[in-house]
Amino acid sequence: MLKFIVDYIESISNEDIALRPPGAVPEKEFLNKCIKCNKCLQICPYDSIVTAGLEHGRSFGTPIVKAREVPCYLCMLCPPVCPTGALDNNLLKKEEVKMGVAVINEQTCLPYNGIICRACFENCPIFRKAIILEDEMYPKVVEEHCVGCGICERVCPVESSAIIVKSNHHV
Amino acid sequence: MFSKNNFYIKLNKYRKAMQVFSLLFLIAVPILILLDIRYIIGNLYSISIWEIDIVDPSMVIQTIILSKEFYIPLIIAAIIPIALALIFGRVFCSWMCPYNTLLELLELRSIKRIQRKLFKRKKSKNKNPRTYIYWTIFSVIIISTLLIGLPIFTWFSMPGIISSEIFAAIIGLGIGIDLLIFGIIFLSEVVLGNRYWCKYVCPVGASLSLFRTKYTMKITYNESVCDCAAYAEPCAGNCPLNLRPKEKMLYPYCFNCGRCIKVCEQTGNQALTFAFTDKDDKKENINNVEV
Repeated sequence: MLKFIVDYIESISNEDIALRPPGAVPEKEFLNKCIKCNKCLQICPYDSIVTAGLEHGRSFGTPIVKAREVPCYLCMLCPPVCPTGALDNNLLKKEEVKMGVAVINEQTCLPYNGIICRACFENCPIFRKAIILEDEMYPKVVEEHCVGCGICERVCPVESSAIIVKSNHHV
Repeated sequence: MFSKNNFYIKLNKYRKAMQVFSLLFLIAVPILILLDIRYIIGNLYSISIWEIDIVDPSMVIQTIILSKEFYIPLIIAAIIPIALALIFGRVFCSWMCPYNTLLELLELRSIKRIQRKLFKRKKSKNKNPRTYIYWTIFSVIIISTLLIGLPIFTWFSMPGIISSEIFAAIIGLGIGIDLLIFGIIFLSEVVLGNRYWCKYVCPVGASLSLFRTKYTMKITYNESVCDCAAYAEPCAGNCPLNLRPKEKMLYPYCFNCGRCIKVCEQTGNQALTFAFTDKDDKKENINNVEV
């Protein structure tokens, strides 16, 4: 019966894993290590990190980043404060962060529909590396350099954002 | 060592002051963060004061069980609470734990009377349960953590839940399911009584009890001084955990709150004291010979 309960709990949590704070170890390891001490959340000057609610199943209470509301601004204050190593304490360079990868929805993205827009390109913290403009017009994500901070997702003028960061934590 | 007059009565006052202080501290941390002062961060799972990291030893045990690796900074961060437990016993429970503070408030006579009427509970007899019951329950918790692979210690850590919910309430984050777990355990405590959680189950207390040596502070009983032995036991009557301080096998259940010693001092003779060794018994023997 216990197995059944655990399976159920995992089934709700695996659906769509939210973004973890920068430096997070792979999701399974993260859930084993995070003790919900809220330190990352408390040190964050932008209030980017919030606690996961019940809809996230077994990971309730753990820190997540809701990029559309407040993205991560890569100040790199949170990785060193984690006591258990759920966030990699040695991660200090923002270029090395890998929270996820931004994906552009070409159906709704404005330039692909003939309207000039450079919001994501101009606000990307890994400027001219993670998001490039093809033909000076169409934004493209370079997966290699994208850190998944979600700033592009935040600034996208399209309703429900044409660029969405997919979490890197599919176990 | 503790020969000053009214030492234990004063000590108990300090303990209460510390309980209030620790509650205020938990409220102050989120307020300071709202004011953008981030020198003290964390809650009772783990707290950082400037550069000093402190982690609850039960969380260290859980992380080692779940992740199966020894993360050195984490183990270093547990040194302060472990050292405290080695010297003074489970004083975290009696001096700081907000759940204990809450339950001690429930001991107010008026509340107890209502409780007794509502649930028709009789006064339970004081006794010291067998030690193995305590360790069996703790090993069941550890083994189930190992088997299920879920952070059970975190979910059922009362001080952790209370501190993180105080934070969430003040900052304005959503209140989590933690509060439901807390509510269930608290209500069962109100109905069942007898402090079953602190006494038998609490994984935080059990982890601290692991670090107990011969030289850890303990309550010692000097029978030759005790003059209320025959007819009454004010010490047992004042024990929050329904233990009998006069008898042996007090540990690992007792968390050294010193309330029994306080009432003992109030009766005028100090039969119960805190001591770090068993040497006191020998001294008494020598004194007896001299007399």
